[in-house]
Amino acid sequence: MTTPLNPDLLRPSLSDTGQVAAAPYTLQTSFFSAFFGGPFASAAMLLLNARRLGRLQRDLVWALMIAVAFAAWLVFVYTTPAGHALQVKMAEWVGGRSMALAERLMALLAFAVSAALHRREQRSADLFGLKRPNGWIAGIALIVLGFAATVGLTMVVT
Amino acid sequence: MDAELSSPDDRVRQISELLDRRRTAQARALLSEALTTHPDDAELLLQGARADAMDDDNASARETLQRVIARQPEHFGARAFLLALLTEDGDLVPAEQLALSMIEQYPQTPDLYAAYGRVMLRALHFAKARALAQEALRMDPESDFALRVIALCDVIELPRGTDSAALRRLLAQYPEDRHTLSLVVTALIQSGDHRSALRGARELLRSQPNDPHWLSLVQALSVQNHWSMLPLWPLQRFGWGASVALWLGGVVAVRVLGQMNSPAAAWASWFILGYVIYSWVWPPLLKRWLLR
Repeated sequence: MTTPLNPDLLRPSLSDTGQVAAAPYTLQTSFFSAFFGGPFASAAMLLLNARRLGRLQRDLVWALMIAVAFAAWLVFVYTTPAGHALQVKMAEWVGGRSMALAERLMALLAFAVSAALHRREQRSADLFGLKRPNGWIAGIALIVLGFAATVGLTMVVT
Repeated sequence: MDAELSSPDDRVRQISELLDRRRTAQARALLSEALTTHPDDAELLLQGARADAMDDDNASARETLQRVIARQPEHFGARAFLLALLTEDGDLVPAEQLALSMIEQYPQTPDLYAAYGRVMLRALHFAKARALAQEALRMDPESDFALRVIALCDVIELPRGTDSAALRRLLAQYPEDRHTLSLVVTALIQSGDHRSALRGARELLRSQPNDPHWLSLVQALSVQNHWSMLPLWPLQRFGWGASVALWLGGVVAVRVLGQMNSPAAAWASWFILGYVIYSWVWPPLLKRWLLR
């Protein structure tokens, strides 16, 4: 048996309970808020989970990227000639609800990003049977807010 | 043998053997008898805490351990057991403090580094957890505790389907150990192989028929492996990724068939809707029916 090498390992990491990560919302809550609330709801859910997990600073940039990318998409398709042309093309390819489908696809991509970012934390929560927060209130609130933000921004840019 | 005639050490050995076989009722009977003559015996109290923890009464176990530590602040076994219970209960700040104070006192004990690694793993500090477990393994290459913590890190961190070298070593060195089997079952559940996980969980239940945790795991896995769940295999295996793929594939299929004016478009829509409803409604109904 030898003596321990790295004294840095013995520095406390949890000096108070505020630094202890709480269990994130389930993937089910994240999926449904993204599916029905759109990319803004997905970005907000990413932030909520990041705050619970104590990694808000690390994930803030991802949430902002999702929100800004979606806002830029709305501005592009509704205000530029190229965007209008794309809308017409998309309607030809996939029918009248093409814009709604594109938004949902982006929301699910955002969900995939969030799930990948918090993969280890989600697995740990399952493995250790951590008590999850109630997803109903946050989920429904995010769906309403995400939907309202999408409709509001669409009305502003059009 | 009467309690008065038997030494506390003999009693502790008997009680410990009973607890190893999870015979908590018999162990408690012996324990209460022995405690009447030796009410402050630390080792007897420690066995009492073990019995409480086995019966899922961690609060009472912790109370007993605190009593032992109040009388004997340096009692290694009581402090190590308290550390395990604090970690299990998610009281991570006192767990970390206890782990660090014990490591400071016993810097040559590898299992303490592994125990601290487990605290860090529970606190979602993955890199530190792995580093501590590796440190423990470096100090004692045969430490099964350190290997178990590394295997847990692997289950959490490695992509699905990736083999864990630590788990392979545990299987080779301790194939009969129930902690090893429990880790294998966990890894199988995480990788979506519910059929093999059920086999492992049944083995664990056979070795500990009174353990409610293994019973509920076997019940849950039996639901997952029921023949009527076969259509839901992609969702079980690939999780929410499969749900996203199902939606995307469904939208594309219905649109393409619709553009071809095929009557199959309507059938495809109804099929996907039916599948989604089945995936939501059937599993909870089946669970109720099988566990009635």
